[in-house]
Amino acid sequence: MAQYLQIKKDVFHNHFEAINALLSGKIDAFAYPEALMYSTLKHLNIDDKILSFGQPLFEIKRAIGVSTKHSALLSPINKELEKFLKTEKYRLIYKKYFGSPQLIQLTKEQIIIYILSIVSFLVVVLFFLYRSKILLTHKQLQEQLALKTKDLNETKNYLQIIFDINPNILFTTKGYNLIKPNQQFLNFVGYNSAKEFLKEYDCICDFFIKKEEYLGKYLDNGQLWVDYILDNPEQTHKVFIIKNNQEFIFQVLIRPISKNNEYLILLHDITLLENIQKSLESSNEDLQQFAYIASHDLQEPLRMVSSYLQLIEKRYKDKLDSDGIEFINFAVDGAKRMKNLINGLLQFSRVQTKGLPFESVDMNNVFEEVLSNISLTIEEKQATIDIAKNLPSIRGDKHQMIQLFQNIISNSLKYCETRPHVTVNITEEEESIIFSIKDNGIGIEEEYFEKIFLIFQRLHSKESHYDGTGIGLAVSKRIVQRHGGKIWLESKPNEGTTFYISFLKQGVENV
Amino acid sequence: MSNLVEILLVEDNPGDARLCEEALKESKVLNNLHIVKDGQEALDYVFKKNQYENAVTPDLIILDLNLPRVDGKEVLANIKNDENTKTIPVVILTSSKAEEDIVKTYELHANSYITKPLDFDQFIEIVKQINQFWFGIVKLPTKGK
Repeated sequence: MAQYLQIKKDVFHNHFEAINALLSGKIDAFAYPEALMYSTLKHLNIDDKILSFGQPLFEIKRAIGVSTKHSALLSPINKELEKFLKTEKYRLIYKKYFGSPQLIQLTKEQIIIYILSIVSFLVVVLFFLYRSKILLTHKQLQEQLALKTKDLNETKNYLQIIFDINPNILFTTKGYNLIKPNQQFLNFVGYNSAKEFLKEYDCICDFFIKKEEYLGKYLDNGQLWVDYILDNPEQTHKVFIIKNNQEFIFQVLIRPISKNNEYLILLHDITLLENIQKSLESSNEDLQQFAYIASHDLQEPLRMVSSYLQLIEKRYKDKLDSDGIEFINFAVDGAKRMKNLINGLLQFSRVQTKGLPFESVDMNNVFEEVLSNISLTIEEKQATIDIAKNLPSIRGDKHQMIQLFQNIISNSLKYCETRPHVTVNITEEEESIIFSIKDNGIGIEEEYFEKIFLIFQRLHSKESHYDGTGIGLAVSKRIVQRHGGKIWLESKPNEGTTFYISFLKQGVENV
Repeated sequence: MSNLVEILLVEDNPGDARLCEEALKESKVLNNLHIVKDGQEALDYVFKKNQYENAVTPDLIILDLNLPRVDGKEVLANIKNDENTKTIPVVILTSSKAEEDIVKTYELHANSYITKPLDFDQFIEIVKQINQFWFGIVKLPTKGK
């Protein structure tokens, strides 16, 4: 068959030329390097005249059209083509039209195999690359999980212990029905189960009784006390029950457990504390009252004693001998001292009993008033007093604030051998502000630092020129205490004294 | 003008009463001091009742607040509520320093409020000054019958 085969190794300019050549019989078959050929043949609807072959997807550069009359030619053509493809001429033609070297000729199967092997190779490489990581992460996760589980169990145990040992922990629903009381609560209230408790009480707040400052089920505005506590978590709340004719007082804490609309209620039994505090308060009050009344009522008879002693001295001096006059002098002097002591005691007890309600006190005004009150002494002693500017306001008793700082500054002026120089400064700390009052006075030995604040304690004898009643600093300390502050000092003999007075910042209004 | 002034002292403490008396003795103003020891007696005196039917209307009343039977404030209220007696100056002389006492007595139209000084000399001085002020400085309406 080979001898019949004459192959024209010419090139058509386009596929139409090739089709025309075939239809006109100039050629019996052609090879055309375009997939387009297939669609053209289909559209021209000349399947009966030309058969098409080839695998355009895999051998995209060759399509073969064969005249139907000569379909038997296909086999020898293909053979020749195979040969031709290997020739230099084909390569040149190919290069002329496509400009690049010939494509690697691959069959569909080959390509599938290649792709499959590349993919599997990649998978293997990736696996080996990440194997350690994958395995490690897995191990770590397991370890972490074990740890977390352990933690969780421990936390659970802790919580259970806390729940068990604490007196009175309850969990309630949104309607404050008891859902999980701890055993201690049930024991205390005398019920075996939450169910039993709820048979008698619809809501945990029914259980408590309104009395004095303790919350009852409803407030005056109809609000449930539990709601009220939730609205005011920063305050301390107390509730009250009577059990077996005994009164019990609890401090209550309520926290919402967010997702279930449930609440944790903690009841802390403060009955004993409350009772102690109440009895302390009342005995304190009694003492205050006693000191006030005692000193106030002592004044009257004492006034009689001293007045009439003075009257005798005045009127009958001429009739008395020198002994008589001396005796009367002792009596008058004694009465005077007693008067001072009673006055001191009265002043001391008045800090609490006669103190005014706290208000905002501008400390700049306080020092202005102090200076005006002691202006005579300042002039007399030629003293210099420097007071820091822009002092804050403090919640307190203005009258007592004046008394306090006047006491301290007066002492500075009094216990001084040269021209007094007093400096008042203010420093700010995290929780408090501190006034310092520094002087150039005679100073105090360290062993007396505590003692000078005690009532009627004096460091100087009555004969010395530093007279006083020993009441000023005791009253000062009491005033500072009433305001929740502290007073202390630093001093060295002959080097001056600095008194420090601190107030808590919550009482300070604009530092 | 009569030189002798009539002073009514209402004071339950005889010691203080005597001190006032002593002080008034030293005063330059000639005075006639009457002392009553409780509130009821004071009212009887001012309104000329019972044993005081023939009492002379005082030119000045020195009134203590803490009094037996009728309280000083009540005495004051009665005096100041009566057309015939309300012009009589009433000086409160008491040991009380309480603000509420001061406010209350002025509300009841007391003419002045004085706290008894603790010091003897001061006490004498103050009583003398009361006398001096009301009868030496102040002009008072001429007394009716």
